[in-house]
Amino acid sequence: MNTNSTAKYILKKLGQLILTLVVLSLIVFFVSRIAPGDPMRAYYGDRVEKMSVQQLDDARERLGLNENIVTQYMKWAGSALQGDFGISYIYKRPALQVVGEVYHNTLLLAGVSFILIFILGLLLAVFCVRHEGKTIDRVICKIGVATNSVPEFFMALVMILVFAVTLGLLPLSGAQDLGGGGTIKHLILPVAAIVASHLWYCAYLMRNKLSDEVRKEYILLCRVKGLTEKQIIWKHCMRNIMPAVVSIMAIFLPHLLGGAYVIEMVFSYPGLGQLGVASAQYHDYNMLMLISLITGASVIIANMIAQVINEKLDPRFKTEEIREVE
Amino acid sequence: MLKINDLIVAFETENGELTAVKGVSLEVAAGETLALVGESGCGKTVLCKSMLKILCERGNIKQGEILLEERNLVPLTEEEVIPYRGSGIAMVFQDPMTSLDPTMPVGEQIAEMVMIAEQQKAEAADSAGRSAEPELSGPGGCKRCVLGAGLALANSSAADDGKTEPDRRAVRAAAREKAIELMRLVEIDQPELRYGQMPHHFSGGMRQRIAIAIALAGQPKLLLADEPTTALDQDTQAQILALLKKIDIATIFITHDLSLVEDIADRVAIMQNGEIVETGPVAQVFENPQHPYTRKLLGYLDYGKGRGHSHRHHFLQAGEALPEGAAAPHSHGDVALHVHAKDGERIILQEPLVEIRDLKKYFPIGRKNVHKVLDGFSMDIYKGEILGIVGPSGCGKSTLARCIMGMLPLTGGEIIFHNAETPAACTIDGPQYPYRNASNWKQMIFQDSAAAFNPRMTVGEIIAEPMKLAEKKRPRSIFRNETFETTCQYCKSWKAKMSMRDRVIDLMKQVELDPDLIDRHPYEISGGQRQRVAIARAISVDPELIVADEPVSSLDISTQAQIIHLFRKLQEERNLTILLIAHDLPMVAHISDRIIQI
Repeated sequence: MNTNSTAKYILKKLGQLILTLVVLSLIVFFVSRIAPGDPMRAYYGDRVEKMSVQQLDDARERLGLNENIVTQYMKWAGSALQGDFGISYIYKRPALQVVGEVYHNTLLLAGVSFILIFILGLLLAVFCVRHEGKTIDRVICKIGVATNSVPEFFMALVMILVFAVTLGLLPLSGAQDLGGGGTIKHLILPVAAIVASHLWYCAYLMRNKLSDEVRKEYILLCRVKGLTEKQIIWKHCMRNIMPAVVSIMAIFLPHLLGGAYVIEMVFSYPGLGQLGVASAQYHDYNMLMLISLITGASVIIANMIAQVINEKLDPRFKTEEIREVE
Repeated sequence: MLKINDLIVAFETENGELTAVKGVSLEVAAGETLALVGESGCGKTVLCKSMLKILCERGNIKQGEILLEERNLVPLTEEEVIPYRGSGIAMVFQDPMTSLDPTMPVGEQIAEMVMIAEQQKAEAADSAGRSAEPELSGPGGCKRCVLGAGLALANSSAADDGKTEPDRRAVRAAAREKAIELMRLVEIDQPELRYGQMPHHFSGGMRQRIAIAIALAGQPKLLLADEPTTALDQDTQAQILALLKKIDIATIFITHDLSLVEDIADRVAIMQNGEIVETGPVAQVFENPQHPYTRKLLGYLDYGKGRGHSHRHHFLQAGEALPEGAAAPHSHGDVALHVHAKDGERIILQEPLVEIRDLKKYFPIGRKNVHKVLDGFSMDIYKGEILGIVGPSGCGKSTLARCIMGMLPLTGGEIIFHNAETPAACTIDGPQYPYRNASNWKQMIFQDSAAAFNPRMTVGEIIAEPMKLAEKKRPRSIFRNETFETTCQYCKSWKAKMSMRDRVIDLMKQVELDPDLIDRHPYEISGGQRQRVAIARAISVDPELIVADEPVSSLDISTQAQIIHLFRKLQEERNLTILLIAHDLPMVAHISDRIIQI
């Protein structure tokens, strides 16, 4: 019975996931078609003006642009399922291939920032709760709100000015030194900019959650047991606030991705964000759709994972009942 | 063993300092059970928490000393006091629903305490030399033997080198063994299986057992039990009490209910307004109470046990002759009423006001299942009686009340009302009751009136609201000193000029409530006063039927007795029919004419 219900649970979650992804692809496809601009110009550049009507029609035919929009979607979705997301109009290569060359940069940037924000946020939250109401807590809160209010591109520019231009400690832009290497060095400033502007948002939510938690009655029992404050927070509170914290982090992921794309632009860091902006500028539909799809899917999957982890972490979510042995 | 000298505890509030404990001195000897009795708000819990130094940030020990085995705990800092918790003083809290960590298996929570206690003892032994150890695991009952075995096992492994990994596993296994022994001790079936279950798999009584097991796991010198049975129903209460009685550790048992004290305690301390007014052996205090407050409490105890006077009506069976000397039953229109026998006892004719036939109420659980709360329930409520409904929590008492009030749609069956369509009172006793009409002839009183009142309305507005609704005026529009003039909508004869405020004050006097409270908000008055407001609100439109859903459950015993008597008084004055729902049998039995157990 147990394995059966687990299988059912997995099937249910998978079904939800697939449905959401289909809706996402629909939105991505139709919104990008509605957007103004001429894809022919993107593909052929200035040559469009020299082409005859016959040539234009042929080109449309070849690119599949003269068909009914629903048919276009069906074709696109069908080939997308087989891993073919069309040809990038700018690069004249499969879009997936182009994305494949840069995605790891973004993954690294966003991943490192995400983990750092999670760990630092939690530590900061615990620190603040243990000193709640004292001066140090209040000072941290004020500083946190202030840094959170500075837009990340401004933060990034200031950092470039101080560390790259004035002090010359760290590289100004790009993901690697010329000829490769220096990945970490190039990562420090962008990550710092993202973390600095997003950290407090998470830390503050965690701090409030934790501060509510330490006022609950079972904490009193823990104190009566003779546990120290540190043990109570790490052993008992953490497990209880984890579901909430995981949800916070999952909801936070879109903010972080958006932030990372902006930072990529500022640092000319070759990643999905930069690619996305460029393809939007030049009406590179296929590329744009692929990037939107990747971003959207990662957010959806992150939320789904958060949900599953929640249900695993908090036993109250489980519906199954342990029965007594007769 | 424990000695408290002249302890003063105060809280900082916005309106200056509030002294909760005013110079209390106490003594508990080893193995003794001391019962600390007092009404809610008298400072019992604060006293307890100050012994463990777990008062909230705003609470301060102002003066005095707490001596645990000659060691004063008051000047110790938070870190210094930690070794005294658990293995020194343990505590069981009032509400087992909230006092366990919801995400940790119960067994682990007990094992955790076991391990902490081991550690504390190891540290104590280190600092005080090995000589202290035999004393700690000293002689005791069968429980100590059981605990001793686990302890010896854990100690032998912890003694060599507590840091290595296999060793830690051994300690953990020993703690697990001991936790299971403790679960068996507190009478939990199949402890091995239940070790890994979460608190939400357990009922309230079981959780309280777990809480007791946790407290025992540290082998404390002193156990503080803060109303450990108040949140539980009658049967569970008795079981937990029996369990606590079995334990031979020095205990301070806190309660507001004197009736529990007789069986369990050796000595009693009566507390009032932060002071201890009387202490002594149980027998002495019960037989020969010195302080007037103690006598008052004992008086309420008599009601609770049904020892005192009775207010019950005598039922006249159909066909039974009237007792000699009784006046002929006088009839108020449709409402057949009481017959007065010569000794003042009142007799009710069995004429139903509400007939409930085959009532079914199901609640859906998930998409497919239903929870059958009431399945084919039938009963009658007779005119002019107080009908008590008693049953454990979850048996459908409140659902029944809500069905009668029409707040829940029925799944099946029917409820037939025989209320007077035309207000009887208008034609007979004169125009006393201008509000009696078909729509608000039944009123309800809720258990938790703090939650049932709008916190932004004053007491006066709350009481006046049903009257204004009956007059079809906007509820809050016309309160302040507006003259109130109405004609009875049925007989057109009665006219009165009375401000709404005066009517509210009149009602407040009827429920024995100080009229000065009229402009207070619900959170500014006590629980008993709030319940009186709820009653005043219910009777304001002069209903025929009042459904009271556990109206006294959240109050302490002296207030309970007052409220219960108020019900009886109003019933007699106004010829009400009251459906009284409770889980507490004696209190209901005291005034109800009939009792139905679900």
